[in-house]
Amino acid sequence: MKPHLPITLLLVTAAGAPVCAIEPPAVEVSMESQFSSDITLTQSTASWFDQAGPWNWNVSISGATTGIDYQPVTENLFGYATQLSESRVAGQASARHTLTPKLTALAGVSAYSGFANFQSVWINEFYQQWFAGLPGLEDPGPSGANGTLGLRWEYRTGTGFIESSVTRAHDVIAPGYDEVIDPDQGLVGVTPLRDQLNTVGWSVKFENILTRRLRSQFEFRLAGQSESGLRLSGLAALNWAIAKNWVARLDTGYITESPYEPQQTPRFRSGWAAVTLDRHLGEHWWVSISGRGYSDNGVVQDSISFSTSAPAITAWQATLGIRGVWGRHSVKLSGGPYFTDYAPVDFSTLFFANLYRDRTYGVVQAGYRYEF
Amino acid sequence: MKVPRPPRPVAALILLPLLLAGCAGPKIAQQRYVSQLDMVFSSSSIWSFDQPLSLQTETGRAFAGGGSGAGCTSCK
Repeated sequence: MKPHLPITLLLVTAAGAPVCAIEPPAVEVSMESQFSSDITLTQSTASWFDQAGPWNWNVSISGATTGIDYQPVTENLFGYATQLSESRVAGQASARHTLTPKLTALAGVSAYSGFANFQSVWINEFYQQWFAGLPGLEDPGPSGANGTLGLRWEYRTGTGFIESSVTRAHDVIAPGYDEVIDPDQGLVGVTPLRDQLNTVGWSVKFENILTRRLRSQFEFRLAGQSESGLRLSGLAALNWAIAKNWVARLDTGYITESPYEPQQTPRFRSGWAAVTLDRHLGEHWWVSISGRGYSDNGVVQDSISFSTSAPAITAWQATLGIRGVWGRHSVKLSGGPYFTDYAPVDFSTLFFANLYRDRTYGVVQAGYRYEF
Repeated sequence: MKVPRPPRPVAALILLPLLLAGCAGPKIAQQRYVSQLDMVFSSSSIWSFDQPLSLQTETGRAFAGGGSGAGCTSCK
């Protein structure tokens, strides 16, 4: 089994180690919670942004929890319902060094300990129950680390930037298992499958101020991971100052991943888009409303017994947010519903029908920032 | 490892910035609107409009992994 999303790469993707605009010196705390009737996820982060001379850096630590009311399908004769609770800690640091007025060097590292996502927790519990007591079953200790190096070039003063970086990541994961079958005694043990993943990636990003009211960002990524095909990603973001005090933000992306073994699986594809409308109210407040959609074609596996692969999914999210700024202080509160709609499981993924079932989540985000 | 041919949406996203990057942008004094707090691509969580926890479900948004090689036990 391979984890669905190594957290080191999540940090690269979401926290954006060395990829965004330089932040002024500040401290920041934020939290997010995503909850349904049987799954509750939380993530809290504390960050410090600072600078000295040609150096500018950001350090953050985060803690995350996963709570699951684990419920096996009725066809799973060895399974039983239980409450699962896991935690994860992660640290991230990134730095920039101004080499020349136009050229900046970028570097970032991150590390974590704990399960990367709730699917991994669920699937690991399935294995622990299904193969309980058999020789070869391991108590997993997922962890990982990554490093990023890059350059940012301001090729047009104040309006045109190109940024390119390479990323290397290593993850220790909770393994899947192969059954050890004795012709006379039947199932006598299990053999852990791959428990480490290596990832190498490259990205190039263009950020431009196109007009007095348009700011754009385009990114192209190329990444390869153990037992995965090469993944190509194209991402685009456009911020548009529609009128005084009104801003529209568009984010969209598309990825395609070649199959690891071309004869066995089709190409993985996914696409997403988000639209946000933001209104500046008076001097201190901003109110936003967002809509977002995501879809992929799932992971099709040619399995002779069972597979943990996720079927195709479509997801929708609506968010209402409010932000306030008073001098050095900034706050944010946002929330809304998040709907996931999976395609039906097939015979090979039947044991994970409760994991890959449609859910309605509530999502809440809050944050506070103080600038020095 | 077979290198996939970029489909049209990805190819368009690659080519578009190359075209736009050649355009002259506004002068610094004309950047009042694009410098607003909600117009900047910020790494601050206050001005981020992303949903990090949904990345656990939406594996296609990840930098790598979670795709066609994932999750097979006892594969052929």
